Amino acid sequence: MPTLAPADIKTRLVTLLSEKFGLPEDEILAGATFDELDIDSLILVELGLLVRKELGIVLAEGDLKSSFRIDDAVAVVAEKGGLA
Amino acid sequence: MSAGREVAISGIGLVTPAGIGVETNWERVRAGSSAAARDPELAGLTVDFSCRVPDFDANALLGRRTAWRLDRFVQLALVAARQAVADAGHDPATWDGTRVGVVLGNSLGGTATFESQHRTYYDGAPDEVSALMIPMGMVNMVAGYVAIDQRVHGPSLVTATACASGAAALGTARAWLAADVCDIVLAGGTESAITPATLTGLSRMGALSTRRDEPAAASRPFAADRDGFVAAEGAAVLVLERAADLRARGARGYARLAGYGASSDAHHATAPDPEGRGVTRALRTALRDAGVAPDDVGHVNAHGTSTPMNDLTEARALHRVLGTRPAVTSTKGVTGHTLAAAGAVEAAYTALALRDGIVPPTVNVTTLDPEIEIDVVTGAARTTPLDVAVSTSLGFGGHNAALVLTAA
Repeated sequence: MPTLAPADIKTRLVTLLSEKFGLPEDEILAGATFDELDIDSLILVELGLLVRKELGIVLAEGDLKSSFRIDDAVAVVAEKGGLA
Repeated sequence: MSAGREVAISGIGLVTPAGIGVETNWERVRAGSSAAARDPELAGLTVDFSCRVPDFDANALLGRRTAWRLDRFVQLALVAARQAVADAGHDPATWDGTRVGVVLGNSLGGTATFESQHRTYYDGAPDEVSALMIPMGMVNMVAGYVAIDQRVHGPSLVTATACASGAAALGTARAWLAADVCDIVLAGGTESAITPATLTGLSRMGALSTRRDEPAAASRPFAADRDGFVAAEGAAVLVLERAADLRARGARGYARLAGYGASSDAHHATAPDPEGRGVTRALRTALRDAGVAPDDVGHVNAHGTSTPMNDLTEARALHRVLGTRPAVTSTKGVTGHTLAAAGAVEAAYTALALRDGIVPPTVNVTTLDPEIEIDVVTGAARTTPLDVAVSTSLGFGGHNAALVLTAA
């Protein structure tokens, strides 16, 4: 898998959230928390699965939190992927 | 039930193979146009046709943000519930949700969700099983999701009496209103279980019609040459409330839900009591509950699945209790068998029959079963003034239910 820059991760995450979970990109980019986007703990598990399948980055349970905004998630994914 | 406890049907939502919306449904059912068609998802199966809800676009109707989290049996019910509440003129944003209940029939739950997740698991990827499998698949979740969507804070429940589930839900709702537990109840049923594995199971039971060459003619309730039912999906939600409350708002509603009766065959897991003693008892109980005499009944929307056993059993019971006076129909000729939704879908059609004085036809009957002695309406719809009507439901497990509806 080619190395991803944090900016790429952000694009990929926003696309996943939008395409798989039907969330509006503008709300995500405007800094809404996952909680505000109705992303609960179960959907965070789904997101973790998607990140593994689509980006090849393995997250541990609890790495993603519902209090996160998109940039928080990007930072965690980048760190776990050794890209930060 | 005293006059102050009269229960009215104030709103209806229908999402069935006959269409989405009350009048769309009623038009197709009155016209007697079968919804059965070859089903690409069932290609290669012994039975490769079904009745699906036409043009159901969950993303458009519910929004993608909501739709993807829900199995289709919940999606159908959610759309029907929203329709019914709006139709009744209620607004969940302003109602006292603590006085509102929801009770819906379901039988098989999220079969598509379970089947796809089971495949993931058994294909060796347990860590790819969705965290949403359980909340998407459980039968009770449909009541939970409708409660969330419609701000219902009173009791919520899913009834599971197989193909009598929808009728059981309406009976339960009536009891809640009578006991003053609720002022408004959203009652109905939903089912969406047309998957290859489920259809194979039904097919192995010999329950399904195998008329592959002519799907639209396969569901033929009460016909001499009927050979099984056609599997269908759908949902119906009815808003029930006390007639006095409705009158106070200057509304009349579609009809009254005047009586309910239930019984158990205690005979066999899936075969009905051949003499129809169970459904006879349910029917007599419902008539007594409604305070009407058998001779008052002008119309029956029968369970009439188009299986050899059900239709004969049921016809015997109807003849025994009601004689030959009522105009009997089975709308399953049009919709196929929506399983747990059927009792609610057909209660809705019964209410519309009372409203309009129209009995829709039982389609595809060229020759009536000579052993059946009731007045089955075939060919075209029959126009006749109606005051009292009955809807019957029989389920695997020997569950029987009868609803009595009266004109508003």
